[in-house]
Amino acid sequence: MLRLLRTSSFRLTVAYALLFAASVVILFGVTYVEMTRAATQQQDELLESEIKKIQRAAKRVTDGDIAALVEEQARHPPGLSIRYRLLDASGAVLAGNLPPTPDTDGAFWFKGPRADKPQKNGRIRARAATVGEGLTLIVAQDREAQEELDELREVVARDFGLAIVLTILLAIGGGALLSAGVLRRVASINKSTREIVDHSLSRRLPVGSAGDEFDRLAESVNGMLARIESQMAAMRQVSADIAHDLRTPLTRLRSGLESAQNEADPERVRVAVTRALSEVDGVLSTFSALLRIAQIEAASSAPSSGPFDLTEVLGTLVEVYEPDLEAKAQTLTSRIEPDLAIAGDRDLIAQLFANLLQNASHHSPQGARIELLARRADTHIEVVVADDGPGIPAEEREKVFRRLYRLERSRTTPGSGLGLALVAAVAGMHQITLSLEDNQPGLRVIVRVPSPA
Amino acid sequence: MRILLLEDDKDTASWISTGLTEHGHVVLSFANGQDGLHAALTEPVDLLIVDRMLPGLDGLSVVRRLRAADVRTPVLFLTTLNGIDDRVEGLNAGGDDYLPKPFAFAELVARVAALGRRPALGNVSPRIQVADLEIDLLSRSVRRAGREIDLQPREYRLLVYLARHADQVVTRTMLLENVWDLHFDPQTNVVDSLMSRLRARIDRDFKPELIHTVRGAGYCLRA
Repeated sequence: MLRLLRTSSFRLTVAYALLFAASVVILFGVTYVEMTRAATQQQDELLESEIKKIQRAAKRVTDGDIAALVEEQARHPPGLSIRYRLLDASGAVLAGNLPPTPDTDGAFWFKGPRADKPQKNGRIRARAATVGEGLTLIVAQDREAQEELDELREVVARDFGLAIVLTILLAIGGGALLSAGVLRRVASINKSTREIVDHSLSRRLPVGSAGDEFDRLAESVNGMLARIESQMAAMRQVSADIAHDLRTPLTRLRSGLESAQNEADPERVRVAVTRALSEVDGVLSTFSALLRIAQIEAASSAPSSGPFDLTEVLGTLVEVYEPDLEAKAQTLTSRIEPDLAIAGDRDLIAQLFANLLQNASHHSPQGARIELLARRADTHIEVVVADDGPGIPAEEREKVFRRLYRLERSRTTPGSGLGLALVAAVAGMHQITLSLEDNQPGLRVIVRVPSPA
Repeated sequence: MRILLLEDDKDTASWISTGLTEHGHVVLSFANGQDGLHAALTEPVDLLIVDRMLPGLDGLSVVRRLRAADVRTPVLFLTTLNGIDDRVEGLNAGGDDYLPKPFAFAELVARVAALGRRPALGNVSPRIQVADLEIDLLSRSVRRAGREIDLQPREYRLLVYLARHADQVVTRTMLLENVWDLHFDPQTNVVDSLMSRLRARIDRDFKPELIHTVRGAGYCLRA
């Protein structure tokens, strides 16, 4: 039950109900005050017109007759319980049926005996004005005479009160119902996720047919689970690969050192140690590369990014790989457009292209032709590394980006199998797309780099 | 040179210290960041070698505080941390060079020599001279024994770097970083191949031989 009260939908409904209640109260308050003010104004106008009437009449008669005028008026007042009082300059009463009032000018309220029930006191509205030659006329009316107004105000108050109570009840009831529904959906999702965590990552949340936000939530959670599942599978694969690919050089290292232990000839010991050092360097380099790839994949964005000249980097790489290519009698033709500017981590992107060039060379035979093209293409910059070697069979093109993956025929060529994994990781970090195509013959790698326009 | 070494692993510290002493340097070792910082602020030294992971106060903080105290001594970071951000972090903290562990000793020696030898600010001469080799940096011209020598842009850049570090061993890694702007190992012998082209132009028809190969380390330009 308490859970129900803690749901956000319940809280929202209660908040809404309170808001509505508050506005009802304000509305009521304003109406009430306005009604009172309007009534008072109406009363004042009545009293004012009375005074003016008497003032006009007083102009035509003498002072003595003004008193008679007032008395006459007092006997036939135009409205309920309107009373009069006439005073001379010194304050002595000359005429009227109004009990004494406070000594004030203009319009005012005072408490005095009621016109209908003289034993009781009531609130009386009065106006005072000068009439004739220095005489003071006071005209007053009981507020209680405004019975209609009072009744109306009571009705209004009662109705508003009822409205507030009903609203709050409705809000609580409706809120509880809504929240119960929401709670049920959420509880079902919780249960499913717990099951997934406890049992198997391959299970998924059930998705209803309503297409509402809960269904969408279930869909995105399912997407997330699918990604986690595939990443975990990849991790398992990588662990197996790493274990294999590091054990081999480590085994050679160990056996080399072991035989060096038993070696008497210092020259042969030296040779064994040199070989051991080289195996260690190999292991370290594989290790560092793996770590680096993992870091790149985990980084949400390129760490030291900035604009740089891709033309210059590609030019340097062509220069750097030329000697090795020449050694294998391979030719490298390059057509690189000038001033190709991109944004990203210069070192990592340089490594990306270096790896592609190295791959093209290593996996192609003597005398192969390798091409490097770089050009601008509206929204991006396109770089193509192509060779006319054996290429990669279509069904393996997805897999080659995996860490430590080697094509069967390449198992014995130099290389750690990490080159393309690094390429994929760096590309992923920079929103660079890679596609592998058949160069007929050979492999064609197309790299598309978003251009900062 | 007087070198201050901040390294907490005893074996590594002793190996580095012994090796550098054999090369004629004086090495003061500290295993703790706080002690090291104190020493750096109070002792006169020519170079600091700082491991990033130190007990007490970590290497980055030590260097930051040194720089904040306006100490301009060159700093070489040594570290197992070689993540993609770590090098930049180290250089931003005020380090001058960054050598990931494990490393070949020859690399350390070469970099130490290069850092120690940096010219004081404002003292950049427009001409470099080694024996009868003259390099005019303003006109980018190279002469040997009075004869003008034509060099490709990369060959020129390589020669200038060698000359600026004359009499010091320069490793292939240092050359890749400074002459080709590459901060990774391209696994080609581009350095060796360009070096032999440079030798053909600079050394083949002249005496004495200026460019020397230092086995197991790199190259050196000296008379």
